[in-house]
Amino acid sequence: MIPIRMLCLLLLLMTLLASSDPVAAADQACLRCHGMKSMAYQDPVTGGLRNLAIDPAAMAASSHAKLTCRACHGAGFESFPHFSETKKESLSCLECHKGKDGFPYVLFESIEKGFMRSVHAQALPDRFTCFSCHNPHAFHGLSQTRVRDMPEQVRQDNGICLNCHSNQEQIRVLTGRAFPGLLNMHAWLPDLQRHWRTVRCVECHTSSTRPQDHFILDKRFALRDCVACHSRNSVLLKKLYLYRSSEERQKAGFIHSLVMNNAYIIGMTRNLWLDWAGGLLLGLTLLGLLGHGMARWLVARKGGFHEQNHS
Amino acid sequence: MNRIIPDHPAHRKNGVELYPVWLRIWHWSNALSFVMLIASGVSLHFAGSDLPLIPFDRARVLHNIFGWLLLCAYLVFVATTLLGSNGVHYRPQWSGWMGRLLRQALFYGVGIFRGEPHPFPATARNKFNPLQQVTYLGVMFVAMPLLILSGLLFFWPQWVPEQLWEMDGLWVVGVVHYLLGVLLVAFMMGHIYLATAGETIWGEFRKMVLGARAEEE
Ligand code: HEC
Ligand code: HEC
Ligand code: HEC
Ligand code: HEC
Ligand code: HEC
Ligand code: HEC
Ligand code: HEC
Repeated sequence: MIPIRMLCLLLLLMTLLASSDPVAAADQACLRCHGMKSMAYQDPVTGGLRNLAIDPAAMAASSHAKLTCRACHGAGFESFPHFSETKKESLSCLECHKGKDGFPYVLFESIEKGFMRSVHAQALPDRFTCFSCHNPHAFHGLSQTRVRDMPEQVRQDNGICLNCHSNQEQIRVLTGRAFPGLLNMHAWLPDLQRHWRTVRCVECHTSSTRPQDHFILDKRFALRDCVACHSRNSVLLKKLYLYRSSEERQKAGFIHSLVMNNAYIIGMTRNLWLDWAGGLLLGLTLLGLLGHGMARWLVARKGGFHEQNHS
Repeated sequence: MNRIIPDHPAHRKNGVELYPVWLRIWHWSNALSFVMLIASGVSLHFAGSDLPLIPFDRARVLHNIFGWLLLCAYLVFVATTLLGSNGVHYRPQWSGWMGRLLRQALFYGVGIFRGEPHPFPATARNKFNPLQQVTYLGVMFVAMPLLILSGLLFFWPQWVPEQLWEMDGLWVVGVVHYLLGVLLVAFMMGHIYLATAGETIWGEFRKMVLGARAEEE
C-alpha cells in the first residue's frame, strides 16, 4: 500500500504538470518555484519588491518560446539556493544573438546603436538597458506577428512605454521627477485612445525612415504630421506594417486587398480599384450631362428650344 | 397649361407655396454641406497626393462639422416627411408608375429637344416628376441613411464589429462610406444639371431662392 503522504505528493506533482502544459518538461524544475504568482522578495539593498514570478503562458507566446530556462540561465540555477556567482552573469541580447539568423544580427547591432543615442540612454545611461523595456520571458517581436494579431502587438509595444509613462511612480524612481502631462502632450491627436490602440508610440517617437528604430528622439522631434501616416506612402508601411506589406506585395490584386486589410486607415488603405471605379462613374456622369446639355444648346440655336415658347 | 406661377406679390393670395422658406433654407444648407463634405472628404481620402487639398487636420474638423449639419438637416427631413405635409411628395403612386417613369425619361431623351412641355409639372400635391420621385426616394431613404450611419460609425468605431464577412469591420464601413459618397456626388451632378432643364435655364434656381406657387387643385 502506498503511504497517504506519497499519494498527496504525486497528486500535487500531477496538477503542477498539467497546469503548466505549454512549457517544456525541463522547465518544470524552475517553475516549481518561479511559476508561483506570488514569487517575490524584498531586495535588501533598494528595499523594493523584486518580482521573480515567470508567467509560463506569456513565455510560451513570446519570441523565446522554444528556449528552455537553462538556455539562458546558467547551470548554477539548478541547485537551490542558487550560486551567487551565476547570478552575477549578465545576459545581453546581443551576445546571445550573434550568429542566430532568425533575426539578423546586423539588426541587433543597429538597434543597439539607436538605443545608445535615444533619450533614455542619454538621460539615464547606467539605469536603462534593453531589459528596461524588454521582458525576455514575454516579449514578442513584430517580425513574428500575423496580420490578425496586429492589435495585440500594438498593445504589447505600447504597454512597454506606458508601463513607465503612465506610471508616475516608476518615473520618479528613475529620475526623481514626474511627467504628469502625457495626455495633455497628445491632446492635438484626435481620438487619442483609438490611435494608441492602432499605432505604436515608436511610430511617432523614432525617426520615421528606419524600421525597428530604437533611436527615441527628444519630444521636439516627434512626429505630428497627420499625412505622414494618413497617405498612400504612409510611414506605417515601413514601420508597423513592414512585414505585412511585403507579404501583401507578393499577392497584389483586388480581392486580396479586400480580404487582407486589417484596418481602415484614412488616406492610406484607399483601394486603387475603387478609386478608379468612382472616378469612372463620375466621369461618365459628367460626360453624359455635358452631351445632353450640348444637344439642348444646339437645338436651341436652331430655334427649336422651348424657351422661346415662353418669351 | 403651366400651373407654376412665379412668386410675385400680385400672386401671393392665390396658390400654395411649393418651396416654403424653411424648405429653401433646408435645401441650401444641404447644398453647402454637400460642397464642404466633398471638398473635405476628397482631402481626407487623397491626403498626401498632389491634388490641391485642405490640410488633413482642418479637413477632419470641417468634415465633422458639416457631417453633423447634414445629419441635423436629415432629421428635419425625416420629421417633416413622416409627420408634416412634406411627405405627400414622397408617396409613390404605384399604379401606372412604370409608364409615367418612361414618359418622363422619354421627355428628357427626346421631348426636351423638341420643345415639348414638361409632362408632369409640379403641383401642390405632387411636386416631383416620376423620375425625380424614384431618385429622391432612393437618395433620401436608402443612400443618405446609410451614408450617415457609416459616417457615425467612424465617430464610434468601437460599435463596428471586428470582422465583417472575413474583412476588417471598419474597412467595410470605410468603403461603404466612400462608395455612397461617390454615388451621391453623381446624384448631385445630375440634380444640378436637371435644374437647368426646367421651363427656363435659371427658373428652377430662382424658385429655390425666391419660392414658387402652384394653384390648388
Ligand atoms: C526551490 C525554489 C527554486 C527553484 C527550483 C528555482 N529557483 Fe530560482 N530563485 C529562487 C529564489 C528563492 C530566488 C531569490 C533568491 C536568490 O536570488 O537566490 C531565485 C532567484 C532566481 C533568479 C534571479 C537571480 C537574481 O537575483 O538575479 C533567477 C534568474 C532564477 N532564480 C532562475 C532559476 C532557474 C533558471 C531555475 C531552474 C533551473 C530556478 N531558478 C529554480 C527559488 C528557486
Ligand atoms: C531568452 C533567454 C531567457 C530565457 C529562455 C529565460 N530567461 Fe529568465 N531571464 C533572462 C534575462 C536576460 C534575465 C535578466 C533580466 C533583467 O536583468 O532584468 C532573466 C531574469 C530572470 C529572473 C529574475 C527576475 C527578473 O525578471 O528579472 C528569473 C526568476 C528568471 N529569469 C527565471 C526564468 C525561468 C524560470 C525561465 C524558464 C521558464 C527563464 N527565466 C527563461 C533571460 C531568459
Ligand atoms: C541567452 C540567449 C538569448 C538572449 C539573452 C536573448 N535571446 Fe532572443 N533569441 C534567442 C534564441 C536562441 C532565439 C531563437 C528562438 C527560436 O528560433 O525560436 C531568439 C529569438 C529572438 C527573437 C525572434 C527572432 C525571429 O526568429 O524572428 C527576437 C525578436 C528576440 N530573440 C529578441 C531578443 C531580445 C530583444 C533580447 C534582449 C531583451 C533577447 N532576444 C535576448 C536567444 C537569446
Ligand atoms: C525604450 C524602450 C526600449 C528599449 C530600451 C529597447 N527596446 Fe527593443 N523594442 C522596443 C519596442 C517598443 C519594440 C517594438 C517595436 C518594434 O518592433 O520595432 C522593440 C522591438 C525590438 C525588437 C524586435 C523587432 C522586430 O521587428 O521583431 C528587437 C530585436 C529589439 N527591440 C531589441 C532591443 C535591444 C537589443 C535593445 C537594447 C540595445 C532594445 N531592444 C532596447 C522598445 C525598447
Ligand atoms: C523604464 C521606464 C521607461 C520606459 C519603459 C520608457 N520610458 Fe520614456 N522616459 C523614461 C524616463 C525616466 C524619461 C525621462 C528621461 C529624462 O530624465 O529626461 C523618459 C523620457 C522619454 C521621452 C522624452 C521626453 C522629453 O521631455 O523629451 C520620450 C519621448 C519617451 N520617454 C518616450 C518613450 C517611448 C516611446 C517609450 C516606449 C518605446 C518609452 N519612453 C519607454 C522612462 C521610460
Ligand atoms: C501620432 C504621433 C504620436 C504618438 C502615436 C505618440 N506620441 Fe508621444 N508625443 C508626440 C508629440 C508630437 C509629442 C510632443 C508634444 C509637444 O511637444 O507638444 C509627444 C510627446 C510625448 C512625451 C513627452 C511628454 C512630456 O511630458 O514631456 C512622451 C513621454 C510621449 N510623447 C510618450 C508617448 C507614448 C508612451 C506613446 C504611446 C502610448 C506616445 N507618446 C504616442 C507624438 C506622438
Ligand atoms: C502614427 C500614424 C498616425 C498619425 C501621425 C495620425 N494618425 Fe490618425 N490614424 C492612424 C491609424 C492607424 C488609424 C486607424 C485607426 C483605426 O483602425 O480605427 C487612424 C485613424 C484616424 C481617424 C479615424 C478615427 C476613427 O474613429 O476611426 C481620424 C479622424 C484620424 N486618424 C485623424 C488624424 C489626425 C487629424 C491626425 C493628425 C493630427 C492623425 N490622425 C495622425 C494613424 C495615424
